[in-house]
Amino acid sequence: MKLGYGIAISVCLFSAALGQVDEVVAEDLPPLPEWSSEDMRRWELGESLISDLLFQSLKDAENVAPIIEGFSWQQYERELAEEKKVSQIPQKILAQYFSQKPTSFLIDPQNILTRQEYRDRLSFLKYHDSDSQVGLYVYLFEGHQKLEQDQRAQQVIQQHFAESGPTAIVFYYMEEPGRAELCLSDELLRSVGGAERARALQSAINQARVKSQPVDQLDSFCVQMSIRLYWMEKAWQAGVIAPLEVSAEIISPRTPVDWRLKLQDWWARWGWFFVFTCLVCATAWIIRRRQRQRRRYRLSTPDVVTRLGYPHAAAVSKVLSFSARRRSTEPTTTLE
Amino acid sequence: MKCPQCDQQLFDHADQCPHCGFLHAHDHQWLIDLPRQCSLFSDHAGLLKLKERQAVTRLLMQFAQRFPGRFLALMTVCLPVEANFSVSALAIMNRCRFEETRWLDADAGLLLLIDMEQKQATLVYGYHWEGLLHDADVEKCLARGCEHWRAGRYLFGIKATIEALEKIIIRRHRQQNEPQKTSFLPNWLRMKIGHLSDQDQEQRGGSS
Repeated sequence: MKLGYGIAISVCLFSAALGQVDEVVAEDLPPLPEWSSEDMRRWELGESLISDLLFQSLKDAENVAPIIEGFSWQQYERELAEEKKVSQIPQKILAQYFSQKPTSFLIDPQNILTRQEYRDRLSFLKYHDSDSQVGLYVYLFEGHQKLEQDQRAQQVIQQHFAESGPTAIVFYYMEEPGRAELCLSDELLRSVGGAERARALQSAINQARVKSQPVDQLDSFCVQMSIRLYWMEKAWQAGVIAPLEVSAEIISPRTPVDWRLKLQDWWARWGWFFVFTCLVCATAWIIRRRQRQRRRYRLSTPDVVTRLGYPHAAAVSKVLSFSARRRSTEPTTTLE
Repeated sequence: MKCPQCDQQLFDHADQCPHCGFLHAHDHQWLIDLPRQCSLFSDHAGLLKLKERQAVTRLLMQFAQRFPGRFLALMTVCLPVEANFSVSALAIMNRCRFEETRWLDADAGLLLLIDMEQKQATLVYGYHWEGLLHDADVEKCLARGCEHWRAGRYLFGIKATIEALEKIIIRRHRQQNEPQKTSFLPNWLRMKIGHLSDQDQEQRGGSS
C-alpha cells in the first residue's frame, strides 16, 4: 500500500518537472503555425493540403535570401578554371620568391595557404630548425604552376644558401605532391648522394599522397622530409661520403633522348661555326688541289746511251696479264 | 735491265743480248701494219667509246703539261698470238712518232701498251726515264690498272694507272730536288731509313 502511494507521488513530481522543461524550451523556439478559419475552409474544399503549410516557411526564406547583384555561379566557376589555366607565375611574384634569401622557412608570397594554415606549417618548420642543423626551406606553388629552367632549386641554393651550412630546399606544388623537387646543399649531397636524395623525396611524396586534403598533404610531406633530413644530418655529421653513382647510372635504363631537339640545339649553338669551318676547309682543299694541278715538274735529262740498237727506248716493264680466265699450263689430254 | 726476248739480265750498255743474241734489227710483219705517225692515244683495238677516248686524250695532255718535256702515250692493239709482247712494245715505241709531241725527243716518252688479244699490258719507258722509274714502280702502276681492266672497266683502269704513275714520278722528283727532311740526322741513320741520296753516298764514299 505504501509502495503504491510512493509511486503515485513520484510520477506526479516527474510530470511536473517535464512540464517545466517544456515551458523553458518553448520560450526559445519560434511559435508553432496556427490554423486560421480561411485555412480550414480551403482544406475542407480540397484546395490546400496540410503539408503546404509546412513548406511555406522555406519559400519565404528563399525569397528573402540575399542576392548579390551581378554574381553568377557559372561565371565564378569559369573564372576559377581560367585562373588554373595560367601556369606561368608573374614576374613580380617570382621576384618575391627568388630575388633574395628567404626570411622564413615557408615561402608563400601568393598566399596559397590561409593565415592559420601558414602559421601551423611554419611552426613545424621552425621546430625542425630548432632541432636540426639542416635548414628546411619550403617554396609553395600552385599545382598548375610551372617554373622556368633558370629557377631550379639548385640555382636557388647556389645563389642564396652557398654559405648557409647544410640546407634543404623544397619546391612544393599544392595538390600536386608528385611534382615536388628537393635540392640539397653540396656538403649534404656529398654525404648522402643523389640516390638517397631521390629516395627521401619519394618517401615524402608517398606520405603526402596518403592524405586527401592539400594542406594535410603538405603537412605529411614536411614531417616525412624532416625525418629523412634527420638521418641525412646524422650521416653528414659522421663524415660519410656517398659512393659514386656511375654504376647506378649505367645500370638504369636510358631515358629516351629526343635527338631532333638535341640536333636543333646543337645546330643553333654551333651551326654557324660548323658551316664556316666546312667552307674554310673546302676552300683550302680546292685551292690546294688547283695548285697541285697547275704545278709543273721539270725532270732532269740524263745522258742517253742507246742499247740493243733501239734509238729511243730499250727498257720495258714486266708484262701483266689481266685475263679473267686462267690458262692451264698442262697440255690437255683427250680420251680416245 | 732485261732482254725483252729471253728475259735474262743484261749489262746496262749491251748492244746485243749475250743469251739469245737479240738485236733490234728489223720490224716484224705485224708492226708494219701500224702507222708510223700516230696520236698520243691510239685505240687500234677499239676499246673505248668516243667520250672515253676524249677523256683519255685529256689525261695524256695533262700529263704532258704537268711534266714539261715529257709525255705519255697510250696504245691499244690486237697483236697476233705468236708476237712477243715485250719486243713488240719496244719496237712500237722506237718506231712511232706521236703527233702532239712532235717537237719533243722520243726518248722522253712513256708508252702504255695494252694488247686486247692476249689481255696483257706493259709500259715502255724512254732513255730519259731510266733513272727515274724502276720496274717495281711501273709494275705497281700496271697492277692498279689491271684490277679494273679485269672487270672490263678500261677507262677506270687507264685513269688509275696514269694517276699512280704521276704520283710515283712526283715522289721521285721531290726526292731529287727538295732538301731532305732528315738532313739533320747522322748519315748512318739516314742510310738505315733509306733517305740518303746517291750523291750523299758518293760524297761519303769519296771522303772516306
